[in-house]
Amino acid sequence: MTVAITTSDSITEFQQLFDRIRDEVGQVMVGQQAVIDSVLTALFAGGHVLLEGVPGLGKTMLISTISRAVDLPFSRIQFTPDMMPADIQGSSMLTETADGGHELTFQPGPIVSNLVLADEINRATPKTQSALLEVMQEKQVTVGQRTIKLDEPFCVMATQNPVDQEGTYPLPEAQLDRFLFKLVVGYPSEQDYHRIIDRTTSTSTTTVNAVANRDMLNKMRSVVRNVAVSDSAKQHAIRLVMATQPGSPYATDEVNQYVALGASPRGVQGLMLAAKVQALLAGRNTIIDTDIDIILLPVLRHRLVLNFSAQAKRVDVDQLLTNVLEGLSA
Amino acid sequence: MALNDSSQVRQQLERLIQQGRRQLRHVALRRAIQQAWPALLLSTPTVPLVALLYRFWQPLPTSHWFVVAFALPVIIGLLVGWLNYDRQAIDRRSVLMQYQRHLQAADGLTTADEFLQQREPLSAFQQAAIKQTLPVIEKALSSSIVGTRVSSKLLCWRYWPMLPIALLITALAWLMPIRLAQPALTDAAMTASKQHSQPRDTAANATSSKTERINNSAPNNQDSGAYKADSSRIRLQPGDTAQQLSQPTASTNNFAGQSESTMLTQPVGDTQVQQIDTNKELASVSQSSTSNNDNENVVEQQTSAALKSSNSAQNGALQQTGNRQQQPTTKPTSGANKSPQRSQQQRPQNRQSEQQGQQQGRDPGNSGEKGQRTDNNDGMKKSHGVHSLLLTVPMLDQLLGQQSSGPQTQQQLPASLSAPQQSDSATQTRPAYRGDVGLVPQTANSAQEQQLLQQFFDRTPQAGADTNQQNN
Repeated sequence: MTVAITTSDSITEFQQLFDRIRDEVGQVMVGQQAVIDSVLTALFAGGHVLLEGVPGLGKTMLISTISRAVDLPFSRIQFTPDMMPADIQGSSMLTETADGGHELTFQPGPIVSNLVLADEINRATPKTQSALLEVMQEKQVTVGQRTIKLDEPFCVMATQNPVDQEGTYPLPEAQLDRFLFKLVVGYPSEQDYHRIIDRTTSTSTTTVNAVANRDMLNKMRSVVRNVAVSDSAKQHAIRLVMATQPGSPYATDEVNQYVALGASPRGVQGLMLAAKVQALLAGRNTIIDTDIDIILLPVLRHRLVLNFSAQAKRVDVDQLLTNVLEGLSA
Repeated sequence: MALNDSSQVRQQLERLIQQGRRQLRHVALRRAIQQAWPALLLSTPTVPLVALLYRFWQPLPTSHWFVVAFALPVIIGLLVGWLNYDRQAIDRRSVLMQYQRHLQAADGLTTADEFLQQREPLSAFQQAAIKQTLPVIEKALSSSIVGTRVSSKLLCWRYWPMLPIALLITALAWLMPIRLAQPALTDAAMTASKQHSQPRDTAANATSSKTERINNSAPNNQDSGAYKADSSRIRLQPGDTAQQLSQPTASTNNFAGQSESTMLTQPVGDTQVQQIDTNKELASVSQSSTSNNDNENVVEQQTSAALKSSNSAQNGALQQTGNRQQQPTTKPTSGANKSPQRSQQQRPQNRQSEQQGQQQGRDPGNSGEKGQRTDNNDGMKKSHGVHSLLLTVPMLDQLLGQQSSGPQTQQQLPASLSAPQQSDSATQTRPAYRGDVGLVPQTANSAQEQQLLQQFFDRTPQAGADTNQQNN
């Protein structure tokens, strides 16, 4: 028996599921509510997340907690400079058969999962980093002549350390462009420090219960995709992305001066998907310009490449994007 | 979503848009008027100002200027108003955006209208979005988007002073007699009056430096260019003629006796012949009235005679031989006509008449002068002389072609007093030397005129006595 689900029901269900997952993760994570919401937004939007922060801020704990809350297979990849692509994708191994023979058996790598934690991704070599390109974009793994389709939902949550850049390999622009969000994890507040101490240095333990499953997440993902988009919202998103491209009609003088490479069309896709999640969270059936403005920074901050002049002057990307938004809204 | 819900929303939206359009049109019209009115006021002095400047050169066709003076500000006001009205968007989207902004309803109305306009079937979320706007539409229908957007004051009278300014300029343009083209004449007249009071020795000394050859290039030169060189001396001709025709001893006011005075070497052509006839007519007229000093009547009669001469001069070129045949009759007995030098005789001169004679240009009564003049110049000279007589005492002695047999003296004019070259075109462009038409100021002529005037006025009592002696 099928039950017709109205849009309002869908919106309500989405909001409830989102709140449950957030609350469950909040039992383990102290603070970082914006980061949690952004990670969940990316999860429901079907995108990948890059978390940047100094060590000890709970980036790995966050992803592992989310995986337990949504009851999805979780795998962690600790990237090192000696890691090879086969270590991520998998490889064929020679195994012994029962009759004493030998055969090659493909052993999938840790990338074959639903939620993948790529810890310190910038420590891996570009060759290894490129192994994630196909997985993140196509959601399949090709090893030799074997292609393995990954199950939905699939989400890569990578982390990187902004310090200790020696011996690291910055992610190329092509790979950075495949992440939906780049979230900057900051230090906790003073009150959060108290809670962190209480939770982690005492004997109390916290259990994370699964409040969602694979089917629920896929369903909510389809609800997100069905959210209506007006032409004005599309135009707003398109002009925002074009405003980040130097030489475009909407580019500001600051962009022309400091930006070497602007956002790609993936930026528009990211804005639309993330704005739909925001509209659902606000209880609306359509996207408005405000939904796009809210998720502008996490979607576009890692897609801009600044030139040497901007680096020398230490131009802040977030401030530059804020100025672009103000200039376009004026 | 039921079909009737969608149609209901569509109808409500259409009502809302029509209502909003009416309101916005009203706002746009008020704003257009508020912009057009100051533009109209500011542009009212434009045409009167142009008319004021135009009056410096040309008389104003009153009807045309009045029409333009009223029409231009109205046109400018209408244009400004139309541009302002046309610039304000009153389409569907702008109307709905105005309501959204007024009600703080985000993009609900515009999104619903957009979904209703599309051809594809509506998705669940689109239908839900349309249905969500129903309460917003009903709230908008009961509200107004005009509000305080338009000020209550429709016409701003900040620029009201422009109206009296425009009227003032209009009055100046039409009432003030603005004539800037007569500095030479005015100066010459004033200078002549000043020179009249100067001692005679000053004039004599001024003219003793050099013998003026008025007709230094034209006696046998039929070239119009050469004649043009002499055309500048047109104003000298009457004065010269006066000097030529008038006897040195004819110091009376009888212009007839002065008609055939010393001849200046001037090109004599048909103009001279005609001028001689004219002079005779004028002399006959002046004889009857000069004694009574009835200047006005003489002026009128001379005017008519001069008009005749101007007409005849323009009819064609007379033969030089004909002129030469007649020249002996007009030549002074002293043969000054053959002399390349200009000879001037004392003659009884009236101050005003000499001025007129100078202004008339070359006098064909300078007998003995050979030369060729264009018919146009002859006519112009005559007309110059005639019109200049309108306001002055006629100088019959300048116009009559009878040569005085009395003693003749030569006076040498300084080079500075020599008549400058005047282009024929300049002459022809001034068909009549009227007192109200500006002349090309020529200092040499004016100086020479001054000299002649001085001589005339200095010799006036003496010339009258001489004339009486000659006649007797």
